[in-house]
Amino acid sequence: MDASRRTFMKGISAISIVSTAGSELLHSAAPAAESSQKARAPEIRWPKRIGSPVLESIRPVIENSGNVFTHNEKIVDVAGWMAYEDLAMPVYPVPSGVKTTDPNDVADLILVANSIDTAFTDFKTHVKFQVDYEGQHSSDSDAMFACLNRAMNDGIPMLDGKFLAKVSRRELEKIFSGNIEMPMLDEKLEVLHQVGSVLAEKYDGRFHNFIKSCPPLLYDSGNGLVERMAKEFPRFNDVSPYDGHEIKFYKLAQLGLWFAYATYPKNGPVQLHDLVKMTTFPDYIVPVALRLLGINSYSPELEHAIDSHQLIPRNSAQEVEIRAHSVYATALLREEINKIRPPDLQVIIPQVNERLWTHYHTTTWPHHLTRTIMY
Amino acid sequence: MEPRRPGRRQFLQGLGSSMMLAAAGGESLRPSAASPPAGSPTLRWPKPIGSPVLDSLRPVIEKSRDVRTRVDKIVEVAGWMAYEELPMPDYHLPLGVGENNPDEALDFIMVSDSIDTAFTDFSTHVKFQVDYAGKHWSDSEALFACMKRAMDQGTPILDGHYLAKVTRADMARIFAGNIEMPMLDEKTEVWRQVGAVLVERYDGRFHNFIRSCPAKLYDSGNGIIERLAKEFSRFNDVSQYDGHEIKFYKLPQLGIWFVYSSLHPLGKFKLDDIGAMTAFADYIVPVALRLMGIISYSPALEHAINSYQMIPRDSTQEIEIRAHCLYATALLREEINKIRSPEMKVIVPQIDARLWTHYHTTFWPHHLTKTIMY
Repeated sequence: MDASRRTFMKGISAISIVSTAGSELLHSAAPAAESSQKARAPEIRWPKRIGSPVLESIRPVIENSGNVFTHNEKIVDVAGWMAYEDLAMPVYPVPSGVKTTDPNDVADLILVANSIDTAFTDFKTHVKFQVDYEGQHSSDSDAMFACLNRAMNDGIPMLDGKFLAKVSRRELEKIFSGNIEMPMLDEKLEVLHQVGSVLAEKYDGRFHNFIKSCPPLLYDSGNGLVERMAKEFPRFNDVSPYDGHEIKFYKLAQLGLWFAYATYPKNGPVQLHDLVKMTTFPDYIVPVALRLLGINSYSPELEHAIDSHQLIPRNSAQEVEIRAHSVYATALLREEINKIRPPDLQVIIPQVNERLWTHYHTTTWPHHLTRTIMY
Repeated sequence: MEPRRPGRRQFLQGLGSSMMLAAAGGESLRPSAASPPAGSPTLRWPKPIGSPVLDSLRPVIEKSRDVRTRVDKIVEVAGWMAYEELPMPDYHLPLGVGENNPDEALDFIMVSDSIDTAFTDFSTHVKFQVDYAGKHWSDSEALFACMKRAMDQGTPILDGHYLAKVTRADMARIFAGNIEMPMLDEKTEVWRQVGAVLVERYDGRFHNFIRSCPAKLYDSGNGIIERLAKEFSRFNDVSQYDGHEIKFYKLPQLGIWFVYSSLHPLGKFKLDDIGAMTAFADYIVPVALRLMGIISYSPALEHAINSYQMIPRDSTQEIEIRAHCLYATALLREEINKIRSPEMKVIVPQIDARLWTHYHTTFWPHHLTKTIMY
């Protein structure tokens, strides 16, 4: 989970992105008439297409869910007041403590950090990973960033795939020394080896070279940034099987690109001409927001499992449904919000995601627990 | 008639999340339950928090013609809002005012608070704006910027001796911006009045007034809010409704809330009854409540607001809008606290801040009233 957005948010400013949000109009508005044969869910409302393979892939889950439900009337209800909020396009400051001012370095740092931006709470003791550095106490994602800064200030080439490909467990232990051993350190080690070796092999070790080799598009018939991240780095291939279908989520691929983009929205190393295709980032927190607002509801069994902090296994129907309904409900919520807002204030889904996430990421309400490197 | 203090947007960047157990818990020491009056047996009334403002609203809530509060919606909204952080704000004065000088910070807040109204020209709808220190400021923030600019130039605007004799021409100079400061005559009059009282009794300074008060908002007539309203008629924000005096005290409460939020975290200001603060009855909080379905308007009032008609000061409509704003936020706070754990209890201004920050820039129309009270 990425608690670092808390820090990022401090420098938030409000630009709106008319041209991006408006560009979906270029896509065909009418959904394919494919749902007629679905006997089980004849009245399912489907959001207008935004050109996202993620959103398109979740349909079998929404149509067959037995554990999670989305209530369209609540979406309309919530949009009725949320539409009048600011819902600004965020501009993120460079993560705190970062010394370099080179946008390529910052983008690389964001993308390296993003690749291991999961699981900062010990699964047994429930203690959070924390660190003190340069007079600052930080926890979760922020603590990981502090460790990366510390390592770079000590001359360790954390942005270089050639180093990451061969970093040892002992070195990583030292890099992430904090109050406890970094949770899932072995998995993070494995991710860095994998990401590092791909970068070393094809991109002279640096993420920004990978970015430069792609078109400024999330999706482009298999060659877009998200598609290539998922294809070339297995660690970003965040998909799940459901009733024989492949359901795409691409949480960290989308989130990393979003952060890198929104840190330098104008002329930065990551430019995205199809930002409107970005979905929500299906994590632990957005489902909580949707559940509390009454937009999503759970079967009694799932509700109980979450409330009693039971692990929801990765790729279980429950886990897939929780995440798919996050993607689905936020797409509809965004659609309802845009019906109300004037043309120059239209929003894209990450703005809605941001609104939900910032309000609930510190909540006392329990979120689902899944052991995974995907979010 | 400006939505109060757009500056809070900037102030809020320093948001901290200290909680205030002691203050929020203090109400339990007070007697609870007031017997419901005949005629409205089902009216739900919030538990007393020690606020004469809240206590004074009852005749309005019972007899309202144009505004209604829906308790079921309050319960529903509390069901999700309770799980938000709802932090205690930790305000920072802009432009380095009052840094390491709590007396100056207090004086600046209260002098600015006294004219913190009406920044939009009533005919042209242009907002008051100014460029200062390399930045562009509008509304309340432009007011602060002008005051800081005057201080830089050595104009003693925090001193009642100066304020008591300030002229319209002085004011026009201090507040030179893109347009003449709206309601400049009224603002001149307010500063002269406030200045005269400060000179006569407090050696010209608000911090001396505060020092002469107990550390309480309300204290049988001698609390800070009560004395602000009594000694400075500009702060006597009350209205008559069916023969009752309804208290709102928007600017005195807001000014002291800013003082508290700025100086209490530094250990420089103390209040024993911060839990007695209500919401700050303005233009924006009613919009938030209306959009969430917590309050609703008669078709006539809804139409008047949506077509930007003036709602006259002290009209029943204006009083009802403000009274329901305070009533509904008190109930919302109560419902939220039912859900939250003991160490996370909130006071009404935390709810006010939550609603205000989300809607102060909204494009939904708010009611329009020409007044110096908010």
